[in-house]
Amino acid sequence: MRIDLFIFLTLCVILLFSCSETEHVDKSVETIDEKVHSKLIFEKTKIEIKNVKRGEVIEGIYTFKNTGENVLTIEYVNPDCTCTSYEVSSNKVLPGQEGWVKLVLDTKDKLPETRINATVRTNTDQRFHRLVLKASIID
Amino acid sequence: MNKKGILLILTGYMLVATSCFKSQNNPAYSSFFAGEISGNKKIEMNKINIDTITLTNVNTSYLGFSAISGDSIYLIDKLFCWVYILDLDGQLITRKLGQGAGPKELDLKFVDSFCFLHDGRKLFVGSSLDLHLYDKNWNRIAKKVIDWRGEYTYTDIYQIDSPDPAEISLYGFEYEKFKIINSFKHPDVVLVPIYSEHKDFNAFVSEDYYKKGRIMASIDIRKAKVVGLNGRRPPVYLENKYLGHHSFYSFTLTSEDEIFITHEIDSLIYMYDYDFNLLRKFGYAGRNMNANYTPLTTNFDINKIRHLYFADKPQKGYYEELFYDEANTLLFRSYKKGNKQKVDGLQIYRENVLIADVDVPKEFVILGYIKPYYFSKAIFDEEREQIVIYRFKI
Repeated sequence: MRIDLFIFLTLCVILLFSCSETEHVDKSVETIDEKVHSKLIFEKTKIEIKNVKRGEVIEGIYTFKNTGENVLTIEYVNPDCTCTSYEVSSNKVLPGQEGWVKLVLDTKDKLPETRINATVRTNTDQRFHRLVLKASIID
Repeated sequence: MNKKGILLILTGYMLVATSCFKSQNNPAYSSFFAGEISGNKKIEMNKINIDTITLTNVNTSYLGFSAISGDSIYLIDKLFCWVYILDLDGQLITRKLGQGAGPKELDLKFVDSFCFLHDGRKLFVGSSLDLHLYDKNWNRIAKKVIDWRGEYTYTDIYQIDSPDPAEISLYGFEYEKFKIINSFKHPDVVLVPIYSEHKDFNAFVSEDYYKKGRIMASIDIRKAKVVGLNGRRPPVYLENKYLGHHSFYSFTLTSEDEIFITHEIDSLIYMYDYDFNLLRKFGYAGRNMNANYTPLTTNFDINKIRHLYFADKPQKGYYEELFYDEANTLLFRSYKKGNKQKVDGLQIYRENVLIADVDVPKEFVILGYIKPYYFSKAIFDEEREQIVIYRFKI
């Protein structure tokens, strides 16, 4: 009886580990190239705002158009500074439709000449797009 | 267990704990720099013929590094986290990683530095003391945060008026000149420049910072821990109080873990063993360098410091980078002459002897060697949307 119990527990442990292993597989890379790709064109990727009073919160809005034949997916927006937040019009944009990404920068503790970069990851061939928000801050 | 046993275990533990961190017993400042200047000048060439490789249509953010490892050139995109691998002619061979959380992606908002380890592993570093380690097949091995605490935490040390210069938490990565090199003798150890921002112990206000401040950390990437602090800044910095905006250096290693160091405003090159015992010093000033440096003569003033960094420094000449070609025993030193000059400079030393001091294009900085070419670092030109790499033979 004791041996049976031991075998049963061992099988449970093996099963548990085999399950957790499959859970750890990250599909993001394996599947990226299988996805249907789209195309997008940003109207502009760099916005510069001059004579910003320190402490002001400024916004840069970057409009784009889905010029592909498939649905455009904005997978994420990743500003390189925690001082900057973002909004997206929609994560899914239909072919021919437009959308926007908004970067919001708090200038309180920034250098007089500040430049924020944000990476936009999409289901396009290019995969990554860079948006730049520059601000000249005056005290 | 009796008391004797406990005492033995505790003693053993203390020995192991203290041996893990390699701190110097405050050797005299002069021991880092004292001694005869060796070498001489025997110019063998006055000019090098430089090819220009221009890369266009690369999917890049135009924020990047370059590296040489084995027989390939690497371009590392700081923002998109792509790693491009190129051949000697700049032709794309393949592309690896890319920003993302997958096992073959790099989970960083911005790559602050990197190091290709001698055993094929790749290390990338972010801005939060985070290490991202990959195997030779570009699979993620580990993601860790360095334990940078010493006796104090990073926050606590800033409340102390006269901090101990040997205290780990006093320092952080030198992000302005963030070069990481893997030790040859210690496969899990990398060497990294460090600096301090402490209110009483920093490059703009403190004599002790220059006399006692450590300049290099040894980091065990497997343990994600600082295992040593070492080096000092040379006496020339004490003659100009204070040139914090020039308090940077570059370094390179030999396969014996001997360290060559060039400081921005010092014409001498220092060679140390792994424990920072001075082996020799040598070197000549570069040609036509504007060495009329502007010190900060007032108290700490952030606006003046910004001016020194962004307006004053580009006008000045300074030593920028070292590369050691061990097979040919040639040491290359790139330097800037100042923005009024139309070219920058490159010195070549064989052993201690200066054999060349030639003009090179602006922004040329020596990177490395793949037989038969020496290569510059890649210049990412955002306006023209191109990447330029220079190469030459000697």
